[in-house]
Amino acid sequence: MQRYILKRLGQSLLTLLGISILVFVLIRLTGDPSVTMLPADATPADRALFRHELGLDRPITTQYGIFLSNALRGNLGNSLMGGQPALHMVMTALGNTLRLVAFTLVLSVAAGMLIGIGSAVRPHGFLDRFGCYLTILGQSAPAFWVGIMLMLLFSVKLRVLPTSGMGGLTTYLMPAFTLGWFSMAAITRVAKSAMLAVLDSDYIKMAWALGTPHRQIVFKYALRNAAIPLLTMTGIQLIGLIGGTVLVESVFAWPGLGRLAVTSVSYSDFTVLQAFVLVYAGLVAVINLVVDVLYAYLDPRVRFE
Amino acid sequence: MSYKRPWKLFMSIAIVTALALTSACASQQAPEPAPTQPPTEAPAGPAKPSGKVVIGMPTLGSGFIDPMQLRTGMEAVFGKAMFESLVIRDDAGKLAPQLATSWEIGNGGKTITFTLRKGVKFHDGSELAADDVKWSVERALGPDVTSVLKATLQGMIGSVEVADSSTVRFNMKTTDPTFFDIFHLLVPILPKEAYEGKPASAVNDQPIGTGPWKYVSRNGNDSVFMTAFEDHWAQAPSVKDLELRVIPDPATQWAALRSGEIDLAYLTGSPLIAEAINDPTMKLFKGKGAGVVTVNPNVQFIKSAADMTDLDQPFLDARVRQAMSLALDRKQIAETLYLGNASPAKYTLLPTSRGYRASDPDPGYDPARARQLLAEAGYPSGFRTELHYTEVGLPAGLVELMQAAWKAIGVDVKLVKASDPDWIMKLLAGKYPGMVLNIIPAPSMFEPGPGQASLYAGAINPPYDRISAVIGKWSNTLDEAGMNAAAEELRKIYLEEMPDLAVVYLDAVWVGGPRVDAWPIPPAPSVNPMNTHLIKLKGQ
Repeated sequence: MQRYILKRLGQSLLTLLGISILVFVLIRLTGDPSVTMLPADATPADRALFRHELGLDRPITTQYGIFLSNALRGNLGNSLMGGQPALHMVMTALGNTLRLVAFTLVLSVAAGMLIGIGSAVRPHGFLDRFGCYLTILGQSAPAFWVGIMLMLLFSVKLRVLPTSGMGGLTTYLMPAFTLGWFSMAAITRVAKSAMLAVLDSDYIKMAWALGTPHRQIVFKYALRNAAIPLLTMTGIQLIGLIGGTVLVESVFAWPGLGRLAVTSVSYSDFTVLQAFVLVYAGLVAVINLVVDVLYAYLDPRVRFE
Repeated sequence: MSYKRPWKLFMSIAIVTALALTSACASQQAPEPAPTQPPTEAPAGPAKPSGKVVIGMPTLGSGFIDPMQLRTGMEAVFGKAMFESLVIRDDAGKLAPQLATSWEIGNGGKTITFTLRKGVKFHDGSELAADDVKWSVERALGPDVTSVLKATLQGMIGSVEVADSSTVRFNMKTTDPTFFDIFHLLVPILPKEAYEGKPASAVNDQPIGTGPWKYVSRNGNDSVFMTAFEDHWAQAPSVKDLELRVIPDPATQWAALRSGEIDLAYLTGSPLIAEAINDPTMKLFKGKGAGVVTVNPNVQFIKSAADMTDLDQPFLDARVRQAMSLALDRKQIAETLYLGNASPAKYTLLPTSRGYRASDPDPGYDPARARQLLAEAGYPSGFRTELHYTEVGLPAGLVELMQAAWKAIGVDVKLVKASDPDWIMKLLAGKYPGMVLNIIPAPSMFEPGPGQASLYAGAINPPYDRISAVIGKWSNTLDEAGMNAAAEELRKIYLEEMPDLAVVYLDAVWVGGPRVDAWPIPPAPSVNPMNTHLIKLKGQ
């Protein structure tokens, strides 16, 4: 088992190294920061000095060598724009994104399951019809439109929620709803269909026949089995939510990873972009590693392949 | 249309052009006390600053507070609020005293001697002295701070000497009229004692200047908090606290303004301006003449005959350029597409530019005359060409409207949207055949320096070679009469030859909520300080 983990760890590190080279080269192909950061009529001497002071006039292999040696010591350089440590900027933004995503996920799963289960338990009832409208709207309304509509209602008309920014609990509500409505709709549909299937099974009919209390049948016997497809859907939605934050962060001025990436691209901020991609790739590598190890733990055949 | 980029690019271009094109100096000896942060009305006496203003910003730019490290131009909004330099541009675009009360140009422009204002205090309570100026300039020229135009500054300033506690002499390497503008934009006067021996980043981390706003704190690149500096030498703000809050999406800025979360929103170029105009609770604050939209024939930028294409050839004839201009209904463009936040342009000289004359005629709108000019130039059936543009900063429908106007006189213009990240560089290199739609920010045509000269350097086509020669002379003199003569010559070329088609003069538009009473935004707000210290709330 230990050998297997070491092997997978080595593979992950190699993947990260490959990504770092790829990112380093590709980002430099997108343009010269002295073009985006200096005035158009800056003199060639200004541009040369600027590039020199940022170390961009050295051969790319030298630049990469310096980058790699610093990266191994946890230093991914300073932002070309704000001068702050790039890793710190990325980690702070990542934390903000994960906070929003976690809040959204909890809301989506809770609301989606509640409505889905309610719809399954009382088909054609109020909750079922409400859930039907909610899912259709949630899966068809574009996020930016939802965000603006929420702002107009809750911030401009009712003045009960702030329009943007990250702060107390109230600042999470509109971004989380905007981000999570689609996921909530998807979870509602899966919860409903899974529950309907389970509630129609023989062991549930037997429980009804034996006079088992309603609540016990739904939450103890049916929900457990219905939870398996729900878990799969929640995992899929989690990935979607992280990807979907870019737009929501921009609309709600949320200081997250998506917004940082977009800003860095528009200013050709190489160091922050490199840090962003590496941290993101590192996260994926860690998640994959954990999943692989769990597979190996659960299924011994994997270890010996 | 993207709303983040327009601001970014617009400001970038603004700083860009302004840094190199604006310039200095007119007077050899400036008048004595005239304050630089000129109050529009008499100071309100000893009234204490009160209240808070929140300004919604599309971005804080690079986030650098140190003006030396300015990257996008947006930093000037807060950098210039906290820091000051020796001179500044006043609202009329003239060079005015700031921390220096006067300056004397000697030895044919080889020395500039500044007399410092007495009694100026830094935010930490220390008093401004000549040593602070010398140290600040040497810091700007040295290796510790990365700066966008450091090489240019190094090429201008030889050394700085302290003559006495309130007199500083600059020994200059060149007589470049852009010196004063580049200096006031990029070189803040800092307290030597507070920063000497500390890393360059200390200015960003703990900014100490002499400006009307004092740094309080910041929340990453999302907001900056400042408070009124009551010991300011000219005029402390009426408002006690100022927050600049980043809200990238204009629709969100608009919602925040209506909900009262922010007091001012930057909506230049956004269709939401129409809603603001129709909302009686909102007030528009305009920076007049913030830029000019022009159509530049590519022949202006071509440096080699081999690069000339069939799409460029017709524009060598001034009659064709005039015909293309007469086909455009500038008034309609200003009123319908810019919703009245622009005005028809006479030429690419802005109203704040040296050489501009209000009495000069407007180019006019006369399609019949345009067709006649085309026939005289040998194009009775028109011709085919291209218009290259980026959507950045342009109102929807502008290029299509111009295309239709040219079609009406027989010129078939293909619209080509450019998405190159280095669009400006390619444009200047003559890589877009036909015409290029461009936004030139104020006060880019003011007093051109070497940067502007380089735009025309090597121009092979008339009248651009003539413009190049005029600018060459202009960019190498600090003599007022010489600059006026060059400006006059340039104006004549614009009127006679119509080297490019100026379309409209732009306003920078900020929308104020119900609490804001006044904000005198200066012309060319992208390069001048935003006068945030002159914001007044109702009841003040």
